[in-house]
Amino acid sequence: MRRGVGLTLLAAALSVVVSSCGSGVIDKSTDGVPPAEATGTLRVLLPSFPPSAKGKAEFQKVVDDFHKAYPKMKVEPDFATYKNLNEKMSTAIAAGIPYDVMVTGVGWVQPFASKNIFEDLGKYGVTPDYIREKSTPALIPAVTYDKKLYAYPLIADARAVALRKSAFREAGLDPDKPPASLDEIKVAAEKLTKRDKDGNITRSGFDLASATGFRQSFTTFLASTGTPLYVGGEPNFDNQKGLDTLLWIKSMINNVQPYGQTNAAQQPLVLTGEAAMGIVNGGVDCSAEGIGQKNCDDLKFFRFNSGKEIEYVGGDLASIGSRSRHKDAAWAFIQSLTKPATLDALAKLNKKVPAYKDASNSPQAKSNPLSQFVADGLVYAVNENEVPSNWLEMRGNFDIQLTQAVLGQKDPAKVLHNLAGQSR
Amino acid sequence: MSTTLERPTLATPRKVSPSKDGRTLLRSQARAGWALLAPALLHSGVFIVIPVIAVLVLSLTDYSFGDTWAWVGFGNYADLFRDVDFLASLWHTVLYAIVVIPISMAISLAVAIGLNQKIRGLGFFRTAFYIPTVTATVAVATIWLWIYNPGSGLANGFLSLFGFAPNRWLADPATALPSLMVVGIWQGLGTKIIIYLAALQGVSRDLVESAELDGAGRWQRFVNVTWPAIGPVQFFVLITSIVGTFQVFDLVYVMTQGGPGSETRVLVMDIYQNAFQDLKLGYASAETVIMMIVIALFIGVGRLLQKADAND
Amino acid sequence: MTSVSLPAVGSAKPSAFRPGRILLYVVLLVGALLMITPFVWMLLTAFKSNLEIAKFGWLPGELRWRNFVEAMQTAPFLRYFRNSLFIAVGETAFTLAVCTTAGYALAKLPIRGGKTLLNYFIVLLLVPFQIILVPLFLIVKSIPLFGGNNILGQGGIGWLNSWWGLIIPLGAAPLFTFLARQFYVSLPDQLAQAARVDGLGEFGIFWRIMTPLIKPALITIAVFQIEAAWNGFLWPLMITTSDDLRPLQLGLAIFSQNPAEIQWPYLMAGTALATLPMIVLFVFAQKRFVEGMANVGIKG
Repeated sequence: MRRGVGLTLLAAALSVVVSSCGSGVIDKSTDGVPPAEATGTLRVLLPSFPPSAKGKAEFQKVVDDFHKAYPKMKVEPDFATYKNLNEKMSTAIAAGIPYDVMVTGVGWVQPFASKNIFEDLGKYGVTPDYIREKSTPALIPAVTYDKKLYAYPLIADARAVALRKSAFREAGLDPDKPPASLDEIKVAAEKLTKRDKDGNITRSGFDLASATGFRQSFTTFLASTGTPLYVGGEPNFDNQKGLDTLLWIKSMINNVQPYGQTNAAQQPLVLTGEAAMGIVNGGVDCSAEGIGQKNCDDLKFFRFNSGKEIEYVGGDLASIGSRSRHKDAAWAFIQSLTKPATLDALAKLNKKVPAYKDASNSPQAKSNPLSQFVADGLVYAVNENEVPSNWLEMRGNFDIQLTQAVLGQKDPAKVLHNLAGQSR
Repeated sequence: MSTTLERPTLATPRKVSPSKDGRTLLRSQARAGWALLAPALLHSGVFIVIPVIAVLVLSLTDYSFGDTWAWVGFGNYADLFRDVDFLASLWHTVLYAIVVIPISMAISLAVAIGLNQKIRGLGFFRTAFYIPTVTATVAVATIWLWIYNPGSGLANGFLSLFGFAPNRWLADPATALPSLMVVGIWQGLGTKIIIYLAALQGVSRDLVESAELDGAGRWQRFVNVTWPAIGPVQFFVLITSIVGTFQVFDLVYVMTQGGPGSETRVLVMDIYQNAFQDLKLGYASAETVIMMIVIALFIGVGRLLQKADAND
Repeated sequence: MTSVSLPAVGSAKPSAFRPGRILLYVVLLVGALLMITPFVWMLLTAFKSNLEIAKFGWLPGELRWRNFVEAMQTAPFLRYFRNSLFIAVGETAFTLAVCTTAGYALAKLPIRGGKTLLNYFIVLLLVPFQIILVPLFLIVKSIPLFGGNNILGQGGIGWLNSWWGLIIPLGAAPLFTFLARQFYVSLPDQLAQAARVDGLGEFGIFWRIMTPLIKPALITIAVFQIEAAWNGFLWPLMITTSDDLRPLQLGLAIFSQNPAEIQWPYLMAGTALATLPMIVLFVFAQKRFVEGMANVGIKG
């Protein structure tokens, strides 16, 4: 009897495997069908809209706009968090029911484009000039793979640096002349670090915001020397500038900031005064619900400049699935998504900056001084640039090995060399 | 009502009955047994065995969610043994298991015995010990992150009460894994206490009292009556502890993401990253197979230890 | 005087002030405090403001009850509670039905290869959920005749985005079959003998005689399964797309949607509210332990 059970299971297994390969087709393709008559379901994956009541209301506005062109198509949103994006996308791909519209971040486009999961947007008229004209030029490398464009920017996640004016005055420094180069920052930070009688740091001189890893901060510091992390998918950090930057980070950690320092709310430390200077996000809440006006007034924002003035900019990028059966409809949806009003709403929901041309005058930019500052600075934007196709794997490698270099477990030069070798 | 025929006992099903009645009885019992087992077999077959077969098959490929994939035979396995991250994860997980399992079993048994006495406020105590288990792991991990915060967390506050210097806890490569072990033990106590309690309360009162009448002391009563009586449950707790500690994931993922560097990287986290971050599902499947083999080895050792003790 | 409502091990002396007793209370109290301190902190944090959380104070300045209210209003949490309840109850009923029958069969009935089957269930414990996520997803999508699928399981979405998909695949875990079996094994065989002689069939023996005797185990399994279903996150995330089916933990994830801007007060308030039903459930369950045990004592 057991053998019978076994055989049945095997047959079931084979049938499942056979039946699940390749199928999962629910809709008929609507490409080429006039929009007013297209029917089917448009499946959209976006972490940009939180599934709260407010988020859903905003999303509904986008759907309504989309329905003006495609009245008969249903839109099925799948809300995911940034952390679970990969699981959702990969299970959908494996199951043969891919999404039509996918919103990912900087560093995601190249890996998925190389696997033919994203569609080349060139045929919808998206060219570098188009993005330069309508959106944020800074994000062009992030959406490029093999000279083609695979995503369109929605919002920009920009980071600046802040200092506390009171701390500067206290240490005899001039808050109106912020340090800009890495060397200047180090000198100032060492003056600003406060310690207790046992030598433990009680107030950090500079917050590198690297509790979870040094990948992003390394990219930022390196870029400020004029060196992008990758160029055209090739590593650009296994050189003197890269080594200098890494050694600089190493000299800062446990010197002006203890390794792994965070506060409970995982907020930038300079906002609460636990650090005298530090990297911040793209927005600050100056109201009583946030950090309060007094704190806000004590902050001055500036940018890194060790040869090149830069501002790290990530962002949300919208792509069309290559296996989608509603590619035209998906593009129409993205166009509804990128209307200025929608982008403003998205920016507000996520405390980021909309990625349209005139971001400096957007409502979100005007809502607080930090957002205004980063929006004005979008011209200086940098990020990892055009990353290699195994970037998702490299992210993890960077996080691990950079930390090992900083903590003295591995030799920095060897680490950079190793990372360059692992990039493909 | 009783017959003179020898009825075979249920504890020794393989003995052939001397009578035809016995055989028919056995067969009808066996039939009933299969009928009762069928739903569980079907469910586990479809929802666990088939995925496992898929994982085994995937482990021989380089599938990574792309358009094309290829068979690589044992290539993944070979690569794994050269993979620094995997080896580190394996080592950390084994360490974690070796420390957490005995300590948490011992503590929970002790607490269960304590709770099994006639004390007041039993309800309060039982609930208090169970609260960590009932709270979502993400919440638990977040709160312990705060406790372990080197700057202003409770842990250092506690240390300073006794005059000790503050520790870096999760930020220090040397103390990161032990800090996680503490949380692992802490969170796993509730379940084990409840199971031990249920088992202790099932120990037959008659046996205990007759041992007491025979003059056995407290310790002797425990060793000779209670301990063997909770044998089957001990076995269960041991197996589930082994499996649970080897599969620790949520805790590590939220608290350290495997850091600093890779000091707290554990197996399931490495598998998860390989599968969903690096999108190398074939590779991750091979890693899972190795992990399951290692767990099986540990369970085998556990069973041997158990056999030395009780009947099963 | 050896009055015991519990068949306690050992001490029969009722005096409450022996030094051993006091030590026991102290140890248990310290232990209990260690267990609940993090939960208390979570509760306190739920009352704080954003700034207070960033500053890491121990006590909130004022009790901001409105955090709880606002948290629950951010999204349809009442629906999420209802969904979680539904999933938890459904999964537990399913688990109890399937695992007790299987556990009893493994423990008491003369099945050829019973030992092997037990090992089969134990081996299944080894499988980590994260890696079978993708194949399981595929299988659930291919369940024949559901969700628009034909008999071969093609063409539709099977059990995806449905209650079936949320309840059945993760229910009846081998763990609980194993646990049930271990408890059944401890029951004396003579009971079955006597019942058989009385003319009761095998299923009757299982249902009327044996299962009621392991009430503590049933309650244990129920409590564990309910807790697992209530706190489940990854599987519901993968398998649901519509808000109607979303359970509680997914709802709470809304507060940590943006990693740069986690809404801590709401997250803690929501988590505290989510944990409360589990605690209440447990307070009631552990009382039943005692009642169930009284029966065992009598029949013992």
